[in-house]
Amino acid sequence: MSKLAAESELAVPSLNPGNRRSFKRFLRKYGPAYLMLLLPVCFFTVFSLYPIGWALKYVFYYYDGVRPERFTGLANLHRLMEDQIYWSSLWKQGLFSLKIFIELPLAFVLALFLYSHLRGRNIFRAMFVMPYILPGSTMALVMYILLNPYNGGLNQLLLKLHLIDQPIQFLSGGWTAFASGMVMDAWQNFGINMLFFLVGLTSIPKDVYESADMDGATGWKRMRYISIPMMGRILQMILFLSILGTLKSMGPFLVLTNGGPNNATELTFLYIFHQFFGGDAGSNYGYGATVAVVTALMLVVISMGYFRLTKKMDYHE
Amino acid sequence: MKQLLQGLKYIFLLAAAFLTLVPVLYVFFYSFKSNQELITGGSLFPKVWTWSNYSEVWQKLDFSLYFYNSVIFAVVSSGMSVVMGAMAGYVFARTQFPGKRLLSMLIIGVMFVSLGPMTLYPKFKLAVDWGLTDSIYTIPLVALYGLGASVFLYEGFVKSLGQDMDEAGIMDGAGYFTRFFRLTLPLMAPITATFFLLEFIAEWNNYILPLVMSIGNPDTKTLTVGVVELRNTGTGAAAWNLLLAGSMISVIPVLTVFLVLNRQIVGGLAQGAVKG
Repeated sequence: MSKLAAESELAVPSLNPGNRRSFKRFLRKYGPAYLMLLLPVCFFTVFSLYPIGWALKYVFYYYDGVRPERFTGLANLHRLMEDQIYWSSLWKQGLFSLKIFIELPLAFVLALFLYSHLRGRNIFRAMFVMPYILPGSTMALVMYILLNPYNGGLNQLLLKLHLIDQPIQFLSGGWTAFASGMVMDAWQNFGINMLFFLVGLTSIPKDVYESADMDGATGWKRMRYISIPMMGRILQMILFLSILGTLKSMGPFLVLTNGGPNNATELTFLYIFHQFFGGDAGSNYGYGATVAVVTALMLVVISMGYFRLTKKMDYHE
Repeated sequence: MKQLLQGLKYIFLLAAAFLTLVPVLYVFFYSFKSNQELITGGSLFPKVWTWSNYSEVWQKLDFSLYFYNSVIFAVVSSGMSVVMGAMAGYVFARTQFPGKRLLSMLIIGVMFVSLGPMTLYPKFKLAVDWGLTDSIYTIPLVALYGLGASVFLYEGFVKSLGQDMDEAGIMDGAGYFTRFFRLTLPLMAPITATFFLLEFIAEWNNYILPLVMSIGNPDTKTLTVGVVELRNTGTGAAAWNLLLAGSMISVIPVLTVFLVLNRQIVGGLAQGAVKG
C-alpha cells in the first residue's frame, strides 16, 4: 500500500498512464468498500461530527438564533465560572450517581440467587429486566401520578395504613424529589445490571468451583476469592457503564420535576438541555455550547482516569 | 437449614419481583378507573372497568396519530441503523481500506463523548433548515446519529464467520456487493433480528429527540411525547384517568413485544455484556 502511495506521488507532475492505471487498480480494490461506506459515513459526519464541531465553535460566540452571531472570545467561559446553578448542578449529578449503591448491590444479590438452580428463574429474570425496556418518560409520568399528594396511589396507601396523617409532598420538597428520582432510576436499571452480573457468573468455569469445593472453600470465601476476581473484566464494565451512564443522564427528572423545586433536581444534563430548549426567548446558545463542552471534557477525563485506575482489575488479559 | 435458606431466597425474590411490578400494575389497573374513583381512592382493582378512557384518548386526543407516528419513527430509525451497521461492519471486517484506523478512532471517540443534550440543538437546527422536521418519515433520519456500537458488533460477527465463503464467492466471480447481499446478509439474519428488536425498543422509548423535533409541528408527536404533554393541557391535567390510559397505550406495545420475545431480548441484552 505504501508502495502504491509513493508511486502515485511520484507520478503527480506528469499525468502519465501509469498513474491512471494505479488509480484504477486502487478503485477496483477499494471502490466497492468506499461505496458501501458512503451512506453510513455521510450520516455519521452530518449527525455526529458536525454537531460536535458546532458546539466547539460556539463556545467562543454569542448566538441567540435571531440576531447575527458575534465573536465574544472567552466571555462564555467567564460566565460559566460564576454560574452558581451550573456548579451546584455538577454536585447534584455526582450525588445522583450514588444511586448505583442501591442498584448494583441489589442486582448482584439477585444475580447470585438466580445463578443457582432455582425453579422459575427465567420468569424472575424476565421480570427484573422488564423495567429496563419500558419507556422511561412514560414511567416517570406514572411515578409523578403515583407520588402525587392529593390522589396519588402511594399517599392513598400510606394514609390507609395509618402510617402517615397527612399526605407527603414528595415532589415539592427538594430532597424527597431528588430521592424519588434516584429510586425510580434504580428501579429502571437494576435489571440490566443483574443480567450483566449473571453473564459474569456464568462465564466462570464450573471446574474452578469444583476444585474450590475440594479445598473446602464455601460460601463467602468462594465469592470473595473466586467469583469476584474471576468476574474482574465484566465487573469493570458494569461499574464503568453505570457510573458513566448516570453521570451523563438527566435521570427521570425532565418529566418528573423538570428541575424543580427551586433547581433542586437540576442535574447538569438537564441544565444543558434547558440552556437550549428552556423556552426562554433570547437565550444565548453559545453559552449552552460552553456548558456542554466543558462538561464533556470533564467526562472524558473521568473515564480515562477510571480506565487507568482499573487496569489491574483485568485478570483475564 | 438448607430448606430454610431456599425459602428465604424465594421470599426475597418474590418481594423484589412484586416491587418491580407495582408501577406497571398500578398504571394498568388504574387506567381502567373513572376519574371519580381515582380521586376518592380505593383498592387496586377498579370498581367499574371504564373502557371509555381508552376510546376517549385514542379518538379525541389524537393518540391514534401518535401511535402511528411512534411506529414509523421506531421502525424507520431502527431499520436504518441496522442497515448502516451491517454495511459498515461488513466493510470493516473484510477490507483493510486506507482511512480505516481514522474512521474507527472517530467512531470510538464520538461514542465516548456522544452526549445527548450537547448535540441536540445543532441537530435540531439542521433538521429544521433542511425541512426534515416537516414529516414523521424524515424525522427518524435525525435519530441516526452514528455508527457507534453497531459497526463493531457486526464487524465481530462477520469476522467470526471466517473467510472461506467469501473466497469461494470470489472464485465464482461474485463481486463485492453480491458477496455482501447474497452470501453474508442471510447469515446475519439472527443477529440482525435481535439487534433490530433492541433498537426498535430503544427508539420506541426515545423521548427527548421526538420531543425536540416536534416543536412547532404537533402532527409529528410520538406517543412518548404526546402522553407527557397531555399533563400540561387542560383536559389531561384534570383527567388522570386519561393520562393513565395514554401511558398504558405507550407501554403496551413494548410490553407485548417483551412478553412474546423475552428470550431473544434478554439474550440480546446479555450478549451486549459479553461484547462490551
